[in-house]
Amino acid sequence: MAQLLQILDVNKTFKSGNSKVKACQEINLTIGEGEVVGLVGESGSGKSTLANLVLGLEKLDSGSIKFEGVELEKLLKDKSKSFRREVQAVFQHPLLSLDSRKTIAWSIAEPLVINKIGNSASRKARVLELLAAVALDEGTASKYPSQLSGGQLQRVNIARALALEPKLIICDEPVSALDVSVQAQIVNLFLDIQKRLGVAMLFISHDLAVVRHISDRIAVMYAGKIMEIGDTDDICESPIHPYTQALLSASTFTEESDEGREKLKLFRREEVPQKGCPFSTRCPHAIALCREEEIKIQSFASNQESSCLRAQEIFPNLAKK
Amino acid sequence: MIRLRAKISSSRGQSTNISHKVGTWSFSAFVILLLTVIFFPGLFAPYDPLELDVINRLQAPSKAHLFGTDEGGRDIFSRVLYGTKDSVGASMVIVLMASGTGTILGAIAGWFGGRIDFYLMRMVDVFLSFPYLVLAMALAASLGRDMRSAILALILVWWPSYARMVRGQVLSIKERLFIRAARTVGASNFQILFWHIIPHTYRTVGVRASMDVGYVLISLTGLSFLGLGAQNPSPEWGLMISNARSYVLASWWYSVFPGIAILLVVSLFIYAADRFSGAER
Repeated sequence: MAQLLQILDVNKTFKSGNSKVKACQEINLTIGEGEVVGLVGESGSGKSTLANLVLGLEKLDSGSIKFEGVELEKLLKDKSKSFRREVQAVFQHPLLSLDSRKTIAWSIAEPLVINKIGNSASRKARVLELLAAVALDEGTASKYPSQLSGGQLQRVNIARALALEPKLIICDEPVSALDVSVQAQIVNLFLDIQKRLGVAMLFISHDLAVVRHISDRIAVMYAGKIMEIGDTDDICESPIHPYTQALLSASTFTEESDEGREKLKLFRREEVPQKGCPFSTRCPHAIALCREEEIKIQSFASNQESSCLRAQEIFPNLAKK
Repeated sequence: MIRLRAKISSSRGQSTNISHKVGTWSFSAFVILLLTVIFFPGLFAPYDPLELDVINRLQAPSKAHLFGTDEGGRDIFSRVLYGTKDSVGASMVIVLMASGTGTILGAIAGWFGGRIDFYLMRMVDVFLSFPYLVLAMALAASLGRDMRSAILALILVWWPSYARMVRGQVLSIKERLFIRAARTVGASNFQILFWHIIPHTYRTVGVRASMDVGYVLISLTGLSFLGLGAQNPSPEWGLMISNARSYVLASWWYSVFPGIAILLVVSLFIYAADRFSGAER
């Protein structure tokens, strides 16, 4: 699979007064063409910052992001705006990401107008086509955002993101603000679109159950660092990081009954330590070494990568690559 | 009846909608009436506002001359109607120009920030640090004593307050998610400014502008009264009152009717704007 997006050693720190928040540290992640990569982690783990960095809405401190092998900085300066056509976004709040004073048709057509695609008649036809693609009826076109429900609005946002036929869609918690029943519909819509158009996605969520449903691969983030990356099935069935293990044990998607399932107990959340593994203060397996040594992501057989120093001790049948 | 009331109170959105409509309708009706008088004063005025009729000078109000006549025998009722253009019409133009300039410059300052913001806002500070009427007088006098310079002076004095208000709004609008969303589809700075940001300031600017028509009218007639605006024989209201000064004791109608016209229009604009802004909330 050809690499579409490469995130290489990316760092981003936010400073306000004396406090520093390391939102992203040494992030390495690649997305292939037509691949769906899920990014999970609890709130504050830096997932959205990473999305903003990829979209060029924030500047990175160090490292590099490449799209189709070309540096992001160069792409953003390019007058032809090809990057803006090829990478689109769907955000968490469906209502807030639409301009309340514009009709739905206007909002969906906006990307086409900005990128000077088609004339007004062809754009009108395209808007109706897109509305049909996200299962909304034609009457929606003339409505305003305040007249639609959350699920319908998120469909509008998806239609808008599809308008330019992008190669990559960054989905930043696209279902978190929705009802559980609507969440399933939207996730299925994403799956359907992915199958039909073969578009690559970075799908961000704090909900492992949602991410598992849609992703080919999953990356787990904690306090600005990637803890584990691997194929969806491997991550969900045989995690090789205690944090992933804990996330899984707290998830509700497992089919076996809850009774036999053991929930992993974590220590209370404290401030992220300055040194060593950020998860060491909560990890049940942490030893003195974990609080001293800087973590490094290591590859294991079965294509999984884990940043846990003790991975091989904790998960005995793990073979190093 | 009960059902009707239940319907209205059942959703707050609906009830504010109704009072919003009443406010907007009464305001638009009032403005349309004024515009008709401004563009077609001949439809209502019985006499030519400039035609002298010295035999009938300083006549008290009667059936023939509703508001009486002035020292040249001209019909004051007709002059007040014709003067609407010079007084109210000019005030509307001033507010339109000032709010337009102020909105665009304020939005640019708020959106781009940095040095542009700094210099634009210091300029605004300089204008706002003078008492506005004194500044308007100085400007009008230095630009030449005629209507055009009075209008220009008031536009210059009035735009900074709009710029400051809009800048403040833009600072909060630009942090909203739909602006980010517009960025991700490739919108340029000016597309974001004119398609997404400025339309969101229309409401507050509109309310403010409708109120300002009243205040500008007072200032404009004030300038004319002082001889810095309209010149004789124009039927501008402030100028008419100025001319009437020598006859105040003997011919009360000469100054009172243009005065009532000013009072009426100013208070109606301010009242309408107040209703309007109440309905907006």
